[in-house]
Parts: sequence; structure tokens; C-alpha cells
Amino acid sequence: MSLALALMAMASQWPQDARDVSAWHWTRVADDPVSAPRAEEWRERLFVYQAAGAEAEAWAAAAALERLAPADADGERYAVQLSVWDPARWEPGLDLADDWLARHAERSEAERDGVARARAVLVNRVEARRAVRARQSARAWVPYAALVLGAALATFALRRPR
Amino acid sequence: MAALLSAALAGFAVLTVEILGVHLLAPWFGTSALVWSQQIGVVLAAMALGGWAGGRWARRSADPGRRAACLLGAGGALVSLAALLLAPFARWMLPEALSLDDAAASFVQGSLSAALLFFAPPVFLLAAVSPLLVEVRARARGAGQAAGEIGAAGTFGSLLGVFGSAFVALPLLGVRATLLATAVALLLAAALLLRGRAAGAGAVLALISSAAAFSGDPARAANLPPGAEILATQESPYQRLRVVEFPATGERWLQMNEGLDSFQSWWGGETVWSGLYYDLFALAPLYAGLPGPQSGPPRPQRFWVLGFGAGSALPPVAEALRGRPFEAVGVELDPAVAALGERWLPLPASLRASLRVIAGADARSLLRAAPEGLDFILLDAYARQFEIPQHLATAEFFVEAAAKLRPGGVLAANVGTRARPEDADGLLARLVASARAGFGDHLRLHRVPRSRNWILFARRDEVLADPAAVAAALPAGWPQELGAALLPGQTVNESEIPSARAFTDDRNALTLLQARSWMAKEGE
Repeated sequence: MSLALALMAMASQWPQDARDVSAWHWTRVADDPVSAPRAEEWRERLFVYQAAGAEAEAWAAAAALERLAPADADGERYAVQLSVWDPARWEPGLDLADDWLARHAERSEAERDGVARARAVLVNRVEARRAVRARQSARAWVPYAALVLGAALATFALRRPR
Repeated sequence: MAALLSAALAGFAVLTVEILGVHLLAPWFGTSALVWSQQIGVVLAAMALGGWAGGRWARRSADPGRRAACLLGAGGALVSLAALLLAPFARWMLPEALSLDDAAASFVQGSLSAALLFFAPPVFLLAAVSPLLVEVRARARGAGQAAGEIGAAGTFGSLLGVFGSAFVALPLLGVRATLLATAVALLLAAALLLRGRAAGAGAVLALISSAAAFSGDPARAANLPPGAEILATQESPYQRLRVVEFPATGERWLQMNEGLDSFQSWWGGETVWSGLYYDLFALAPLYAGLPGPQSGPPRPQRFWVLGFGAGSALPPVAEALRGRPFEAVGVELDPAVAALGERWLPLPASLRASLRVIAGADARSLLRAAPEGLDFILLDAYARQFEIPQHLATAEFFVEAAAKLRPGGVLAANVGTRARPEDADGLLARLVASARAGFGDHLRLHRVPRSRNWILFARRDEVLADPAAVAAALPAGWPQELGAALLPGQTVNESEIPSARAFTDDRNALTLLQARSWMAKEGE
């Protein structure tokens, strides 16, 4: 409870930032290390936004972080976070999360925990999708059965008179 | 005369079942081209088989008139069953927790099964009526004359079915009651023709069907999103509409047809930024290059919104104009959408004062009548459903749209698709190829945060500003995700999109491509 309150308090310290795009001016020079703010700041934000349920802001922070570290282990970490919000990336995101956790045992507990939490969300979403697909498959016979039934009835109706 | 009236009634019923059948399917499975194609195909097959069977029965039957009456009654009973039983069947066909993203397979399976099980049988029986009536009439008048008269009566009935059901009965009675009324008419006609005990059975069934017409509508809550409460429902000639509210947040959705987790328009009271794709339309005035400070009163910005819905795109665009006067025109095909929007998703009075909504008109047709020199055009007829209107995605359309913009003016189009821009010959590549016809290489795709949608920006005659420059120009107070949407990883420039064949008015594979992309499983 106290952690949740602390997180909410942290989020509320950025009331302007949270809805203020001016902080994003650095994105135009993401490859300019002088102008770019520290990635650490955005890592904190990602954590807090996620904990506070601020989905849009959390997505933005993850997108920024992925941009800041596109080709290393951190980049992969943020790619996992981003995949949570993109239905097309759920399955590959889950694979990436598993792979990352297997390859980076040396990473801090907080980092591994962040990936593990994203993985848990992805597992839920992938499983829900598979359950829907399974139920769809379980009904796939219905149109074929209807076609066969229709064909049988039509054949019966059109049979030649004796 | 009885034979002619019976033929007309059968023709009326067949077309009513065909057209209103799709409306009956709509709350569950939508009204995509796939659903329509399946319905039309199944109905035509049933008509062909019914006609063939009717011919056989006419030759064998000692009393073809009585047999025709029986078929009318049986057809009426089956129409009644279709109106009553389709909803529970559809509910059974759709898995729980279905999202629109995953729904394509269920929609195709469900609508085909429903058409085969509920609409094909009555159409088969009703189509068999005509040959029997020809047989009756031919005995007095000869085969040719009889076939001509019965055919004409049946076609006239079909004509009434097309226009009467969609434009008269549907708004007055609704889909279910219209189908049940059709069933009652068929049953009563059969009872009058048959007389005796069979007539009594027909009359009883007609009574039951009439009573059922006044029972509650099971499709009202079809595919209702979790936590939503229904504020209003309406059946229009185009679609089934529903306004829902989420008491937890106060937001409202205007939903069409299959509902699920999708919406046609969004409303959040005084909230400007929805966090949805509408927010990205605010980039259109920035890409179009707002005029700088000037001494005299600023020139009003003029723009059109094609596919206006309830106007969800307007608040963020007005915010982007930052108090600059504007003259907006919203074009909405379905007048019922505009009316529901005005009632349940009202725009602030300050915006309405600068807005003119034209409802009941096709976007492309009306755009031809638009004045030239528009600052920007927003195209939101590309709903997050299974389809993009074909005629709003062709090279010819983009040429016409570009001609309505001032030099430097911008077209912003919302595109909902699973296709990826890097797919050679995929939907996005071909859409961009079509847009090149009007805008050259001044094109850019923006990924919509947390969704499958894309916004295509196209600028007439001038280069689109670099996203970083646009990010630098974003005013304070705008949402972070808009800035993030300008990140390099979230945008795709025209040069990064493979060459592809453009869609044209004459040759357009858009519906096929879209259906293929929605039917494909993830990763394919």
C-alpha cells in the first residue's frame, strides 16, 4: 500500500510533464547525447507510469527508451515492454522476454523484475488469444456441417420421381 | 389474381430475407463485404435450387396451387424461426472475450453458418413457389404467358422487398419485427389459400410470430464491451448503431454493428485528448504549416472531415489551431450517426459554431463539390473495422483530394489494418502507391500508439516537415504519446515503403487484401 502511494506521489510530481510534450523536444535529437536527457530518468518514469496505470505515458516512455538504446540488452528490455501494447508483437515479445531472462541473469533484480512483469502480462494476453482461437476452432465445423446438411436436403428435394 | 399476389409475396419475402438478413447478422458478425457476399451467394444458391425443385414438384403435383400455399406457409414459419433463433445461435458461435483483432474467423464462420441454416431454407421454399404458380396459371393461359406474368409479379414483389424493407419497414418496425411481419404475411396468405385445418395451423403460427415481434430485442446487448451501459440503439439503412457509456470513466462510445472492443466515435466530455488515433489528427495543421503571426485578423483555417461520425477528431484539431478561427465541414454518410452523435456525444458549443455537418452524402462525391484551397482534409472513413471504402483509397481519389488542397495543404487518413508497411504488395504499400498519384513522394505513415492503426499524412506540392521539427513545434500541454509518435521508430517515410501497384477505380484488390490480412493469424 505504501509503495503504491509512493508511486502515485511520484507520478503526481510530474503533473505537467505527464501531459506535457515539451519534454519530448529531445526526441528530435535522440542521437545527440548532449541534448538528450538521461535514460535513467525515463526508466524511472516507465516504472512509475506502469505502476500507476498510466498506460499512454508508460507506452511513450518505453518507446523513448527503445529509441535511446536500440541495439543492446536495454533496447531489448524496452522492446519487451512495448510489445505489451502492440497485439502484433505479443507472441514475439514473449519469446524475446524468455530469451532475455535466460541470457541476462547478471542484470539487476529490478531490471529482471520489470521484464518478468511484462512477460506475465504477455503470457496472459497470448493465452487469452489462444483460448479464443481454440474456441473459434471448436466452432469451425459448423459451416461445413450446414453445407453438408443443405446439400443433403437439396439432393433429397431434387431427387428424380420414381 | 391469387397466384399473382402469392408470387409477389414470395418475391417480396425473398428479398426481405436477403437484405434484412444481413441487418440481423450485423450486431453479431458485422456487415463486411465477406458477410454480404456470403449472404447473397447463399440466397442465390437457395433460389436456384428452389426454382429447380419447384419445377419438379409442379410436374409431379396433382394440386400445385395447394402445394404453393403450403410452401408459402412453411417459408413463413422458417422466416419466423430465423428472426427468433438467430440471436442465440450467434451468441453461441462467438467466443467470449473476443476482440475485433481476433474476430475475423468467427465472423466468417458465423455469418456463413447463419445464412445456410436460417436464411437458405425459407428462400429455397419460397423460390419453389413460382414454378408451381406458373403450372397453375399455365393450364388456363399457356406456359409462356403464365411464366411471364408470374415472373413479373415476383419481380415486382422483390422490388417492394428491396425498397420497402430497407427504407420503410426497417425504420418504422426494426429488423426483427419486419422479418416477423413478413412471416405473418406469408402464414396468413397460406391460411387463406389452404383453408381447413392447415389454415388453422398457419393462423396460430402467425399469431405466435406477431406476439414475438413485441418481445425484447436480444441483439440490443450483442457483443457489449465489459463495464458498458447502453444509452441508445438505432437501426439505420446502413448499420446498427449503439451508444454505450462507461460509468467508471464517463466516456461514451458510438458503436456500429458488431461492437466488441471497437467504436466508431469516442466522447470524453470536455476531454480534448482521447489517447486514441484521433489525437494524431492534431498533427495535420502542423504539417500543413500554420501561418505565422500577422498584423491583421488571421485567415480562418478551412478543412473538411470525411467520415465525420460524432466529430471525435475535431477537439484535438481545434486544440492544434490554438484559437485560430476555422471553418470546418464534416461529411457523414449515415444521418443516424450524426443525429446520435449530436444527442449523446455533443461537441462543445465553441466548436459547433465553426462547424457544418453534411449528413447523408458520400465523402468522395461530396468532396468534388468542395471549394478549392482547403488547408487540410481529414479522412476517417477508414474505420477500425474490416474494411476501407474502396473508392476512398484509389489513385483517382487521391488526385481529387490533392486538387482540393492549397499548395502545402495536408491530407491525413486513418488506416486500420494488420498489414505492415514493409510488406511488398501489402495493403499499406499499395495505399501509399495510390496516394503517390496525388501527392508524389510527400507521404509519411505514423504508427498510432498502442493500436494497429496508422495515420497516412500526404502533403500537396511540398515536402512534409521532419518529424523532429514537428516535435519541436508541439505546444506545451500536449500529451507525451504524441511526441513519442514522432519518434523515428514510430514513423515510416515514403522512401522506406516498397513500390507497389496503385489501387484504381477500375482495378482494386483492397477488400481482398484487407480480408486476407484480418484472416491471417499473427506472424503470417
